Amino acid sequence: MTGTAWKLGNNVATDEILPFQYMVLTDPAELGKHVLENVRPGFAQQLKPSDVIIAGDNMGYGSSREHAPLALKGAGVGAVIAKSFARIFYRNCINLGIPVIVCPQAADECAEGDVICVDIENGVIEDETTQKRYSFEPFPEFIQKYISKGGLIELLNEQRRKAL
Amino acid sequence: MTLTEQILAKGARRVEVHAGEIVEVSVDRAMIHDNNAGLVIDHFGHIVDPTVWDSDKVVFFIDHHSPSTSVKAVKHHDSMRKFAQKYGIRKFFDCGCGISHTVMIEEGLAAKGLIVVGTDSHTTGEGALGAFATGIGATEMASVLVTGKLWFRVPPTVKVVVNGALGPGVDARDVMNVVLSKFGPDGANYCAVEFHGPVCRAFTLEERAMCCVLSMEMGAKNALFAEENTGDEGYEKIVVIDAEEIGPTIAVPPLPTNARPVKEVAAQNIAVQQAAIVSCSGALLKDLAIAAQILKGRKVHEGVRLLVSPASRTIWNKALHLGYIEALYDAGAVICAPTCGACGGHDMGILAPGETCISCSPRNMSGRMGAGGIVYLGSSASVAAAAVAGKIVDPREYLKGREQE
Repeated sequence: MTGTAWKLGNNVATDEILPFQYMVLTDPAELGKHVLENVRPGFAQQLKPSDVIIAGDNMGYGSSREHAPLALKGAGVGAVIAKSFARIFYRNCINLGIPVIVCPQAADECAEGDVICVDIENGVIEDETTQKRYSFEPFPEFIQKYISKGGLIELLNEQRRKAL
Repeated sequence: MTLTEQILAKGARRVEVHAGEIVEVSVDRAMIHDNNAGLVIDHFGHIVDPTVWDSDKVVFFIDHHSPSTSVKAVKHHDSMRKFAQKYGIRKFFDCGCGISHTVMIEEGLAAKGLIVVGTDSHTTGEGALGAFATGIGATEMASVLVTGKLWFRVPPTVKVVVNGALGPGVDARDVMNVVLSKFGPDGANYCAVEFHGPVCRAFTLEERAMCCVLSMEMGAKNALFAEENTGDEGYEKIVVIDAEEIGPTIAVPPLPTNARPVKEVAAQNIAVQQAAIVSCSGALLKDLAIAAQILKGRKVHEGVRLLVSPASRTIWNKALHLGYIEALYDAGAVICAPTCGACGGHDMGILAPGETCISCSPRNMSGRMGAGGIVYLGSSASVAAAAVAGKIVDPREYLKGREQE
């Protein structure tokens, strides 16, 4: 997966990723129109499919609202790289099939606008703009299944179809 | 094993589990509220041949948009009521019952040793009686509804010990503000938190619930109070705080972990346009008592809106009979229904850009109560005193001569 990097700071709250007034929406595309709108006005319109968010520490702090990662997914975000993640946001992303990658060095060194290539299976991030490569620990096998199937519901359905 | 390890071992039907292991546990209670129910019900509908695993273990709350605030919100309420009817979910707390975290404890739905999950980060509050309680997302909740099971990485436990005795005018909320500032916004990420020491042990159940709710703000997976001394073995970290270093504090924006001594904040002459005694961390009976103590016979400052939204119907009723509601109303407060209130701007109390609010709710991140709004967090005493003064002040000045009978 290859996309352009968008950089965010530390402790980006889910309140900021998806403001409260849009929590009555459930459609990912509709939610995606409002992603980060108070923090970076016009962000949703600038994003292209497979773009990569690069954040600092504690990405997705606060509220458990799944609307926040769903808005990122609806807006086309292909992966989120950070120094560290808040735990509910991290789980929500995995359950929705969004790759969430802990890689402090890439989070520090990749710049806004760099072209980033993420190889999930082998645990490699390549900054094509600077020609630098970063490795990250690949997901444990049971989490890798969530990402490759596209999320928890798809994985659960596969098991349920087999059981029928 | 720590208390959290003991509960997760039981839930996983294992003799022992330890921090770092991945376990699959049976869920004892699954709480879903109206802010996330729309997504949960959507996801549930996408599962092959969905049924609810155990309708007695599922609890629905309408507490975020209560009563309904918009056409879209009532559509979600309608789908919750229909879902509950279809699947026989009888633990349905409709508009006006109060905030899930408070009511779950009042109703005994988060008893000691249970595994409780909720579609709300502040589900950590349900650990006050000794449950393992944590927040989860909508997709996981849809899966829990069908399977009754969920995986967890067993968290390491951090022990918080508060020794000594609190000074006059210092609230349990001030203790928690100091704890949060010691850990920072991710200092307890993925960890269980246990509260110990004479100060914590003396906390009432509602004060314990407030501490467990706010533990989320330092990243805790779950939080609980220990009834007995557990020794110092098996903890990831032990943080000891002396009550003497705790005075009234205010958490300054944009993080709930930015606690500063109230004197330092008051010196900046920060005018407020809204004061909010709301939420599962700040509109409990003791908060209304303290606010009434400060506001009785006084008036809310011109240009300030004081919102009071008791955390539950039970608390509302007790506050009414104890005369707190009358004192607050006479002072000029807007008395609201028991809901999540202005905490997340969902159903009331939204700020205009540039406006400042002081609140006893858990969060003050940018945009929390409306884009461009600025939120300071403090005890109910600090909020009530600011409502009278029109600016952030030391609440002890306003409590003088009004000590609780």
